[in-house]
Amino acid sequence: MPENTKLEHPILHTLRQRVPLFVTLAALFIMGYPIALLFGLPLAQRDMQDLRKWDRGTFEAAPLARIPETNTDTLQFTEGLSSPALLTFANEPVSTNYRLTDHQLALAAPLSPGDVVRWQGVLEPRDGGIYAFGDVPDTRPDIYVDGAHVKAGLIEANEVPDGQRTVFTFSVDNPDTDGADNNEAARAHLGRLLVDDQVIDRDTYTVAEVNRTTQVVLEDAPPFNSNVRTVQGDYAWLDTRRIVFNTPPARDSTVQATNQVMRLAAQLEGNLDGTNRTFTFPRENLLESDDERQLFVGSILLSNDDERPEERVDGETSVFTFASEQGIITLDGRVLEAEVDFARAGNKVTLRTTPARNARLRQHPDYVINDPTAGEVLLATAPLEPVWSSRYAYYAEPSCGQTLMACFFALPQHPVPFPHWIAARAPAFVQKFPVSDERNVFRAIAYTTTGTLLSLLLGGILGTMLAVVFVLVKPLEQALLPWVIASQTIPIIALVPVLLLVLGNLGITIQTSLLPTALIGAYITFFPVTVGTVKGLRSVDPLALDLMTSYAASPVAVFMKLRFPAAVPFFFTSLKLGAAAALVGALVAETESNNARGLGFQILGQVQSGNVADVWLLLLVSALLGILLVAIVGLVERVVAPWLTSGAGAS
Amino acid sequence: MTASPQARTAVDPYENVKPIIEIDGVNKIYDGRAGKTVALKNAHLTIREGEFVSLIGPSGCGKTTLLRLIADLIQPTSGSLTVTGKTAQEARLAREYGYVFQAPVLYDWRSVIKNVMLPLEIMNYSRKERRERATRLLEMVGLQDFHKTYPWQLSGGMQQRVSIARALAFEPRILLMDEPFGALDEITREAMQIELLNIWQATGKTVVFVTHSIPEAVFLSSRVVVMSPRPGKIEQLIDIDLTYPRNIDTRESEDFFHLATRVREALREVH
Amino acid sequence: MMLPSLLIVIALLVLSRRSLWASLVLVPFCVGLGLITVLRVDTLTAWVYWLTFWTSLIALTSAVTQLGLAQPRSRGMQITAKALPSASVPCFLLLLWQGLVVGFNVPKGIFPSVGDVVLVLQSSLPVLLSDSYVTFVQEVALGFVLGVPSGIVVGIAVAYSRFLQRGFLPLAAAFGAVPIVGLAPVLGRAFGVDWQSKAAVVVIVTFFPVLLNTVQGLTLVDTLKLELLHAYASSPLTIFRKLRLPNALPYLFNALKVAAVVSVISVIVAEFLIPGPPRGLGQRISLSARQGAYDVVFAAIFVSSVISITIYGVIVVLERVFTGWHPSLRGEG
Repeated sequence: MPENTKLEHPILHTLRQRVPLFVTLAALFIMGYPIALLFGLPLAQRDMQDLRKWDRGTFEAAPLARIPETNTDTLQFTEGLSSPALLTFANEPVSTNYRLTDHQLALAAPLSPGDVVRWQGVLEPRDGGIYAFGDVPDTRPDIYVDGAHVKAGLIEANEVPDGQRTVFTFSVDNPDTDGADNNEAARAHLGRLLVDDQVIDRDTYTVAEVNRTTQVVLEDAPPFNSNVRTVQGDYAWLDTRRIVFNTPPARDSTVQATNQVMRLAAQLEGNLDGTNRTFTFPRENLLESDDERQLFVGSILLSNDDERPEERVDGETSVFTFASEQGIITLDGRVLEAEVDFARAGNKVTLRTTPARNARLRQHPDYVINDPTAGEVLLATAPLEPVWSSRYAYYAEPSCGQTLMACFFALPQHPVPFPHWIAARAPAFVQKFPVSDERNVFRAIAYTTTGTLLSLLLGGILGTMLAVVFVLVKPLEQALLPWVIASQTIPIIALVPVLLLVLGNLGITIQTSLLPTALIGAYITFFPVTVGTVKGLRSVDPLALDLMTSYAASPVAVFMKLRFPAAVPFFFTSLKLGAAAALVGALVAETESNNARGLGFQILGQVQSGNVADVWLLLLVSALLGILLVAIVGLVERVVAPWLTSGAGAS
Repeated sequence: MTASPQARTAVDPYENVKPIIEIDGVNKIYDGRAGKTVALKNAHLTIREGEFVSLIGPSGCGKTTLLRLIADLIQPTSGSLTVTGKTAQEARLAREYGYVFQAPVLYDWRSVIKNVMLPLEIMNYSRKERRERATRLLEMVGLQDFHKTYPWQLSGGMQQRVSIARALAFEPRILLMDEPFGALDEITREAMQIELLNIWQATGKTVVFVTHSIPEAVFLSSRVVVMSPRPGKIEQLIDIDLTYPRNIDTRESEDFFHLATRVREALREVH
Repeated sequence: MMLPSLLIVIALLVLSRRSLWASLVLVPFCVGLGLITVLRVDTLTAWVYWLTFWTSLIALTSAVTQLGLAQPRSRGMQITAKALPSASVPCFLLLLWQGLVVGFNVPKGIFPSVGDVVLVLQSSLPVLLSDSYVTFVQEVALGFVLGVPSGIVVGIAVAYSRFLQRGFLPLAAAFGAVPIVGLAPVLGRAFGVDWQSKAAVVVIVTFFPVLLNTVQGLTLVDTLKLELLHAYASSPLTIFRKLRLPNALPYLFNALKVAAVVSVISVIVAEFLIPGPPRGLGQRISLSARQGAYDVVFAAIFVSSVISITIYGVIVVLERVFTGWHPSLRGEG
């Protein structure tokens, strides 16, 4: 019975053989993601925890929600009242009796509008819901439309424009989002879109609700490093002079601005028993040094100052004179205890231990923030009246994002980018420099390849010559071969700068010729080639040598007809080994010089510019180049020595 | 000078032929780490031109040593060796012999015809002459269709044939063969033996043939030299007076059997 | 001045070649004279300087060559004959270097002389040693300790898995070709600029040769030897212990030798490319090169060469201990 053998189609067979390779490649690709996370998340965490990278917020006492048109004895503020608060007007506390009821303050005596607000100016309408000041105000005032306070708000897109991105998302709280049909509602909820502080036309973008975030697709990509923002709230500042409203006010509305309006300051927590001096701010993570911070005890504004001693802190003085006669003494930020660490005599302070040279010695007459992270303040004297603040600055939240993942994606440079990012970057990378520019990646490859091939040629020739000498003059081999082997361990790479300099002095710089690269690569390949070729020249079959003896062949004939051909496989093997090393040598030589050509320079350049994805692509290119070089050597081998690869099965 | 072989006589057919190789009291002693090894002790042998002499014996009997001494691949510790009237070295330098090794020793990087041309290149024959001779010899060994093939593409037997063709390329007077058919299977070997005899008869060369196969020695040679080991020395010389040309029938003849038995007994004595 | 004196000396010394002992006596005399001369070139005329310089060099070569060609009788001379040529090579080179640099009055900023380098070695040895500690102990040793075992483990896995052999092995061969130049900065970004990133470079650079060679050593087993064990009904573990593992050892040591050499070079390249705190020999070299202090550069190279040759030598000794049975080490062929 004849067997039914099914012959597989050759292409299918090859593909099937290669399946494990594809699977492994895919696995590696997938593994790139956890690796990217592994390396990126710690950096993201560092960003999240570094206070200096946080967005700052400023607490300002809440302004009036509505300016009364006539005398009034109830005041509404923009924020809910839940605890006794301090009324301030123009940064001065207002001492008047009042009572809190719900969200209103009931005054003992009525106030006129002029008592609660001093207008700074009126804004004139411009096109498109924009209002502008006549003169530029000093600081950003509060805006009131027809006497009602309007809120400013601006949200940045979650993504940073890179010159090509057209899709941006905003983390906007959307109460009811149910899918794509709510796009109009989403658009309405989003507010006006600003690109680089310019209002952009509604027609130039679309809004959609995607996965609980609002997604905006722009027609044109915003330029690199610009900003994409949306107005959250009633209006946003375009520049120092103009604001833009989400919904423009009615034609005849009055839009006024003021810096001086009645406000409610916040109270600090703490025991008012006459001995406690420590109070906490409503928020944590205060800015340590904040000139605009306003702290009140009762209705007295405390001074932010800190005084320096008259004497220099030179490491020998321990008696210092200050301006005030009282206050908190800090040494390098640490609060010193009275009687324990120092003794006071009026405005002279004697420290128990002499402070080190150039230490920071300060006196804070009124208060000092002794734990900014916890929001703790230490007062000089224990107060009996409540402590308030109408203005202070704090670190609000990490600027990279609120979650670790958000900060991860916001990293400016990922040490290991996601694989698909690297892949996506490839087309742009290849086109980054035009072919005419010598920094073009293909030209760089050509340059480096030429240099390396040249060095292989040089190293191969020199190595073979030395190997022949070694075989002919045995004492020389005995003496030198151990050193040849040992010198492979000498890091010649270390001499690259020296070599470049010496050659430079001779007038041969890497700019002008490939010689330095060739020499370095030649040195690197020279040794394995010598060692391998010697082995090959000596590896002849003893019977073949006898044959030559029987022919009474001269040593030259023996060399030419027997040793050389026998050594060819060893030569090429060593050359292949040297090829990869020569490539590394060439790349290092290129980085050490200031030549604009070659892959090494490219890699260095991209590393320094921080284009990590480009670096990875260049790495890939270099790896492929290494493989290519070995393949080229193999090709040469096949041409020169066809008998080796066609089934002879030597070695 | 080829003497015509005569049928079954007790007279040495080569008696009046000039000796071409004279080995006189040759010793070869190796000085190794384990002490001295006497590879060959006091060998005496005269080989006449046109003879086919086989050296046979167990391992260590010195047969290969003797062959290599003749070839001047090694030098005797004492004693004299004359080849074609010259010293062994002079004979080698004059390229008086062709050597065929146990292994074909063909160069992988040369095609068959180029392998045969190897000695001719070394000996500075003209290009035309090289090609002529090589072609002729390959025809003689039956490989005329394999000029361009490479050694690894040939079978063992064919490779050895190339090796023989190469040894004959420069027409030396003497052919020294060291167990050339040892690696071949029996059937190929027997075929090669007949071919070798044909070549020998056609060219009239002197052949010194080392083997450890009794039938092979008896079939091929006109004289068998039986050697013994420890120390290596020549024990007996046995004339093989079977008629030439020999063929498959010869192997089955009674005379063949008797002669083979004689050789076997001689070997057993000395073992 | 240099060339004529060379010719005269060559002529003179051809005569001395006739006697082995004469050359040997001549050598120390000339070397000594040469050394004195090169150290104080200003007090002697150029003629004398170059005369003695070439004399010592050529006498050294001549004596060594003669020693190599001679067939000495006594055991002591035999050992000397074997060792002296090798030992004399560095002397020759150093003499040549020093003589040329001093003779041509090359300033220290261009190319230092041997004396300069020796001075640096003397004065800065503690610094260089602490640099070496960082480079070799922290970076190379740690990298080795991590890279070699992981290469072996993965190698075993690949050797026993057909899937991995077809899938992963070609990739590993390809990855091995990734030049450090590109890899180093990336690792620097990932691990920080201190020694950890350089150790990571060593891990990667040692991992691949060890992996490839382990796989080769475990799989390229003589079929007949394998069949022998099968005939004894051996389990895969037994086969591993008794055949594959010993078979793989020569390959492994080969890989270790390659890895040792390459990791030293890679570490220094990595230190060039990852700017960090100035600790480690590579940083020292880079810094000194930029400052123009080439004597320090050479001193650092010397120290690193000594250490890496030592490492190489240790591996060679271990190789002889563990794989002395291998044909290449038996002295055959």
